[in-house]
Amino acid sequence: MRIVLDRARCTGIGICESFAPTVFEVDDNGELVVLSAEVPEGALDEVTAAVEGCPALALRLEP
Amino acid sequence: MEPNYPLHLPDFYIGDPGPAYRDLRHNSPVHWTSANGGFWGITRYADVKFIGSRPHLFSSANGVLMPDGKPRTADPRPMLITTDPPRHKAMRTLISKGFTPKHINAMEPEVREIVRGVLDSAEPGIEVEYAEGLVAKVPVRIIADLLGAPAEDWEQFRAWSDASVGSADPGVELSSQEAFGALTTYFRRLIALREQHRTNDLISLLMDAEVDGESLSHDELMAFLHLLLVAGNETTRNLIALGTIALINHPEQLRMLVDDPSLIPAAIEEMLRHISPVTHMTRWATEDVELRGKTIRKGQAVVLLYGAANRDEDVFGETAEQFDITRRPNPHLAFGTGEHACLGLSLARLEARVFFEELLARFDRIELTGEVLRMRSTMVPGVRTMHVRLGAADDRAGVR
Repeated sequence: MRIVLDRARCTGIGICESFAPTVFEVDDNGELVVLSAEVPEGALDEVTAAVEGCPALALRLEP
Repeated sequence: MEPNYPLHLPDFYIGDPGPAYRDLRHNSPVHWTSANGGFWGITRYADVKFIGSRPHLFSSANGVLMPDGKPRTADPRPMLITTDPPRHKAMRTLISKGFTPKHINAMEPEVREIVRGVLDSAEPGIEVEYAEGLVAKVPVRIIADLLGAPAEDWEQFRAWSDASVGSADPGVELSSQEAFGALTTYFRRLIALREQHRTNDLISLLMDAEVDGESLSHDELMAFLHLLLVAGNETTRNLIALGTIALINHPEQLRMLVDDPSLIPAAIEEMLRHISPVTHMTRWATEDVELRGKTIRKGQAVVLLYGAANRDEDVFGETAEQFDITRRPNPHLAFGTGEHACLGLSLARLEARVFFEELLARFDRIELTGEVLRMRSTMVPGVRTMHVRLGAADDRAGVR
């Protein structure tokens, strides 16, 4: 599964990071960095939680 | 016949709006109230999410409080919460840096120290005023500290902040205008100090910030500070105070938390869902929109009722009305939805978690000893005062 970020929607609040810190990180400029374009092995649950938990609807998963 | 509820009155929210919300979700999910110039009440989860994520169709520029009957126009220099895209994102990014999980998690030791200091003043078996006397001290200290106010000003801060949101509450002595004025004077003084000497607080961060190559104006800076203070204060206080009442009303769940503190984060999500400390935010239609057979006209107000959405059976099932700290998943909208979703949500979660961890490590019984006095507000109808007696079981005394 591929992680797709809609940067225009992202507000850099970092909810995704709190769910899946190995995949998402908000840098010191407030920009979200997706550390892995693909969902890492074994991390689907936390990445799904991050995608569903994004209040700005800025994340989605694509096959 | 269409249901009729006083959605424009504080008493509606102070009572139990659950049955009315249920009726509205089922029988009039896009519901017109003619009071105060009229507004649409939105109660279904999917609709709240739909509107919240379409800022071009549903603007925040005329204000987020429900209509109060006074005319509304867009503020030419709006604060973050009333700013539409594209400026909203640029403004929000200025401050969101200070609220990322990394920054907030780093504050845990400080939050814990503040919570411990506050709880040290509560003794087992002695009646104590809980909302103002204990709970309120935590968020006000954190947010005042983030803003850069010195510790000796924190109590004064809380009084001003209370007064500036509780304007409809006759119990608050200071008028909201007076409180707003006092805060403005105070912020002006802090800004003058930071002009001499920047520190690592939010005021300094905002003073150095630029949007589209321009610094924030004095008015924008001031609006930012007011917003952060009020948003970071009342809301968390009421989450913890009303969350405590939910636990008092569900002693078996209180027992579960005392026995297994690892359940506290999920319990806080359920408090957020069940209480929805911020009852609503308002949006303004920028064109005519059809929704569930109703026509929302351009310029009309649309009130997103988070507490109603958070009990939507379509999302939370047959147990939607019940308080259940083990609920999973719990995709509540208590922090709002869309690009205006609460900036401070990580901080609110941290404060509430640490508060309940420390509280329940010391006390395993909480009982109300009198009436709960509520704030008469349509947006944050929280707890003004509540007296409780905290009990510590003998075998737990001295654990900390």
